[in-house]
Amino acid sequence: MSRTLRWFGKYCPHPPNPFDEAKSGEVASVGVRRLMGLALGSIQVRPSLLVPPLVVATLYFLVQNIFEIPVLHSPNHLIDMYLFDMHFWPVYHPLRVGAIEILASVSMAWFLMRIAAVVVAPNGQGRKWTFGQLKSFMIVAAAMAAVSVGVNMAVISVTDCCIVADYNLALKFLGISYDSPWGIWAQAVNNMLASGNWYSGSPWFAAPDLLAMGVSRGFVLSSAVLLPPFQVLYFLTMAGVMLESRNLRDAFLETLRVIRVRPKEFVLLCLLFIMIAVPFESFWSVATYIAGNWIPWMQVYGANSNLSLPPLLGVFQTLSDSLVGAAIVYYLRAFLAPFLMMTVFYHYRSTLSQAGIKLRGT
Amino acid sequence: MWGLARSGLTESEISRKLEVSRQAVHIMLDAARNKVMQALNEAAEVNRIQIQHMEIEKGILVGHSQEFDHKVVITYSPKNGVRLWYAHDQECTECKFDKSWVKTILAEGAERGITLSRKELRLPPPELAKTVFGKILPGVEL
Repeated sequence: MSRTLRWFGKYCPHPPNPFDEAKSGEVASVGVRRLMGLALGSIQVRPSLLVPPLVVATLYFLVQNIFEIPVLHSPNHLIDMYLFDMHFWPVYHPLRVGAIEILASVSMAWFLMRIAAVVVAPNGQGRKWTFGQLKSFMIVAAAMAAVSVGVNMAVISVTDCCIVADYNLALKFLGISYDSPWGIWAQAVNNMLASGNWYSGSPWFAAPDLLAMGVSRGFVLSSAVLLPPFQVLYFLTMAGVMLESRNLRDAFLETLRVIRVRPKEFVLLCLLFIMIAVPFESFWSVATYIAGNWIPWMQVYGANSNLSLPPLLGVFQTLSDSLVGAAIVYYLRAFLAPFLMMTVFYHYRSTLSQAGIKLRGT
Repeated sequence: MWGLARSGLTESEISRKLEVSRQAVHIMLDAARNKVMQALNEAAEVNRIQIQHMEIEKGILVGHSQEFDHKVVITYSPKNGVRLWYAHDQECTECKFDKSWVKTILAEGAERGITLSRKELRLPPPELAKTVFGKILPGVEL
């Protein structure tokens, strides 16, 4: 049937989306590069606009790791950190994480600001921001960054202090040496569980210690993992407030509408994101610690780092673990994952619906 | 004055109602018609819409979008200004998220004296819009 002769049963103010009208299979055959282009195109963001936040974050990772390498890879670095540098670590670590948060917030604010600058208004026309709106948005972004940095730094300070205090207490209480088999084994298990400084094999000591450390570690993980999706939400909501000057609820719904994600879907995406990010981070840290503790030729990074590696191998592992690994984890969780999941999900949803597949809960 | 004319009053009746001369009413309505026609034509031209049917008094135009290959209705009312309404032959993705325009289409219908039954008011918004346009332009293929 000719398209011009077909029966139009409905009218609405939204222009037809050729993407929605693609026949089943057309979209699925689109390559990843094209899909990325469509995802960015749908929010009118040029791929080149991804460059500034990427450059900022990459520079940060270079600086961070240059600073971190001598700390982590000094002889017996864990002993250095927890015994001799115990007063330094709880200060250094939150500052480092705080810097990550600031840079994440700035790059995210930049990225979202670019999206919001061309965000589609209800009349279907693009809208440019005035200088006053941009200034207000940046103030809100800075405030949100300060809040997230404050929360994260506070949580990490508390947990680091707990870890150091607990470790020190446990050391005094049990008097177990790091070089003893119990000490090495217990630290490996402890690190594998990512639960603090349980290094004693005694069950009566392990249970409350594990519980306490597990809870504190859980706070760190949840604050780090939960924050990015909510940062996206905050920024989008604030963008909605600036654009429409309505109350927060309407602005939130409006911004979700603009990015074509239903409220229920946003919640589902956050849950999905957490389900992906937590095991990913856990796997990464567990794999690192197992390698560091149990594989002899990689014992440059583990608890028992008395064995030394050839310098080149140590540098390689440091780079692959700290720089690349951290970059992957960071980008996955910080802003690419929730954002791309939303856009890609939107585009694939039309394909799925045309193929007769209905997503549960949507 | 435009509203009174649209409600079916003659120029003489409007002049008596507003206590102005009939000539003044004629001149002003003529100017208003020209403005409405200009607005509808410009909207069609800017959006690359080929005009198929236009009724100035009702402030409505039916055309065909060359860009989207879809039918388009353009409405003008003093309250809502110029609005474009796109025909869809399947579910509109945007409508799942945005139903804020329902008030607008109801206002467009009310301004042209269209009454809707309870059953019609319960229609999904895009079908409600089609019903309103069908009542404004009876006999015109939409």
